[in-house]
Amino acid sequence: MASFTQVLEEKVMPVASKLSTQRHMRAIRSGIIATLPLTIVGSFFTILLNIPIPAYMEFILPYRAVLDIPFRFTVGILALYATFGIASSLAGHYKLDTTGAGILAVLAFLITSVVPTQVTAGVDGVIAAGRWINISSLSSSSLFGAILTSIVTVEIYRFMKEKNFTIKMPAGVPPEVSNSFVALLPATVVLLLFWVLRHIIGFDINTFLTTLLSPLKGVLAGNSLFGGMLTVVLICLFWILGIHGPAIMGPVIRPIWDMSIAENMEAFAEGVSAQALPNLFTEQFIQWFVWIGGSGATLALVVLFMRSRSKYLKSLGRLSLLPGLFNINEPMIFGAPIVMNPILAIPFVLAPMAMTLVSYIFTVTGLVPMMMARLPFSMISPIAAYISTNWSVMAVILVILNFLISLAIYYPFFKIFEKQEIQKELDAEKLEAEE
Amino acid sequence: MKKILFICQAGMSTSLLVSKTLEAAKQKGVDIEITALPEAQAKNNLEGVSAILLGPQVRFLLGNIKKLVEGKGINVEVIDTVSYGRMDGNAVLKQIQKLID
Repeated sequence: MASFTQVLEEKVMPVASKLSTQRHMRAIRSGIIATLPLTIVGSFFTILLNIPIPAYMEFILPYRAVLDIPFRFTVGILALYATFGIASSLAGHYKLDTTGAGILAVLAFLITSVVPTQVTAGVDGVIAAGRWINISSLSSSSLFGAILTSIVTVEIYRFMKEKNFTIKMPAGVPPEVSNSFVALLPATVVLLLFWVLRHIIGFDINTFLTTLLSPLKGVLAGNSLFGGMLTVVLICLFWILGIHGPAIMGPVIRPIWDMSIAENMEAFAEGVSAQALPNLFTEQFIQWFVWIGGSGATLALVVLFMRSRSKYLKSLGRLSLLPGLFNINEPMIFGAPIVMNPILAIPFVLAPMAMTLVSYIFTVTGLVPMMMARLPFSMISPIAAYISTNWSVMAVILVILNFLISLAIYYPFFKIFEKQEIQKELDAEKLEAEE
Repeated sequence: MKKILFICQAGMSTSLLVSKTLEAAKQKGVDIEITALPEAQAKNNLEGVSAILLGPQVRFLLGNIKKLVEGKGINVEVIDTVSYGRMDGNAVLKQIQKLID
C-alpha cells in the first residue's frame, strides 16, 4: 500500500497539478464559474414561472413575457458573460489590463457569433427598421466559440505587447493618454482577424467547434449511459486517491456541464416538456440523484456510522451528519478514511454506479423528468431534486430509493470495516490496561 | 495576531475546520485569525498572512501556491489528512504553531 501511495504522489499528483493549473484551462474554468450566480438567479425565474399551482399559473399568465426577461439576460446569453470572464481571467494571469482584454474578447466573440439581421423598412407594431441581434446566438450553444475567441484574443494582446507592436507616443505625453494607445493595434488586429474570418471568408468558428466537440459532449453530458457512468466513476476514483475529482476534471467537463444544463433550461423556457429535454446526464442529475451526501453518496455511510458500536466511527458519523445533509463529505472521505481504504473504496464506487443506473432507467422510462433548473450544490437532495425536475414527486421518491440502495450496498462493507475498527479499539484499550 | 489561510476547492469543508481550530486556539490562549477561502480567491488575500494550509483534497495545488507566495515569508503546508478527516482542531493548531514559529 505504501509504495502504491508513493507512486501516486510521484506520478499522478504532478499530472493532476499541471492539468488544474495550466493557464488556459484555469482561465476557462474560473471564467465560466464566474457566471454561476447569473445562472442560479436565472434559474429561480424559470422556477417562478412554473409553480404547479393552477391559480398561481393563471395569475401570472399575463406577465409571463416580462417574467421571462431575467432568464433571457442570464442563462439566455451565457456565452457573452463567459467570454468576458475567461478573457479577463487569462489576462490577469499574464498581468495584462483585465478590463481591456475582457472588452476586446467580447468584441471578438460578438463579431464571430452574430450576423445582425437588417430590417430596412419597419412593419408597424411588429418590428422597427434597424439592425437586430438574435440573442440566442449568444446562448450557451456558443460557449465553445466563446472559449476560443477569448483565448485567441488575449494571446494576440499579449504577443503584441511583448513584441512591442504598439503605437509609441513621444515622451511628455501623459501616461493615461499613451496607455489608451497601447491597445489600439491589438484591437485592430483582433477586429480584422475575426471580421474577415466570419463575415468575408464566412467561416463560422462556433458551428465548426460545436460539430467537432459535440460527440464528446454527447458522451459526457448528453444521454449516453456509458458517458454518465464514466463521469461518476472517474470522480469517485479521484476521491479515493484523495483528490477533489470535479476540480481535476473541471477544465474538461465544466464547459460541457454548463452547456448541458443551460440547453435544458432554454428548451424548457421554450415550452418543451421536462420529460423531453435535450440532456439527461447534466451535472444536476448526478448531483441530486447520485451524490446524496456528497460525492460517493456517503450519507448512507454516515447513517451507518452513527449507529456503529465503534466509538470512533460513531463520533465521526455524528460529526458528518450536518455537513453531509448539505452534500459536504470531506470529514467522511478523510476521516473514515475512504481515501486509500481497500474496503470502503468498493461501495464508494459501486453505490454511485447502481444509483446512476437506476436514475437513468427512471428517466428514460419517463417516470422522472430531466433537470430544468440549476440550484446551489449545498441543497438537501430530495428538495433540490423536487424543484429542479419541475416539481416531480417521483424525483423525490427516486432520491429516497437511491438512498436505500446506497445504504444496502454500503452495509456489508461497513460491517467488515466496523469489525476491524472495533478490534483496533479493543487492542488499544488492552494496551492501555497493560501499561 | 497571526493571520492564517485555509484553502480548499470551495472554501466550505475547510470552513468546518476553522471553527474547530479557533476553539482549540481559544482554549490554549493562542491568538490567531483563520480564514477559509476557495483556491481561486487565495491570490487576492495574501496581505498580512503568516501561513497557508491546504485541504488534502487540493494538495495538488501546493506547488502553485508556493510559487504564488515566493519571497513573501509565508509558509505553506498541506493539512495532515487524519487531523483533517477527524476535524481535530488541536492537531491542526499544533501544525499551525509549527508553521508560524
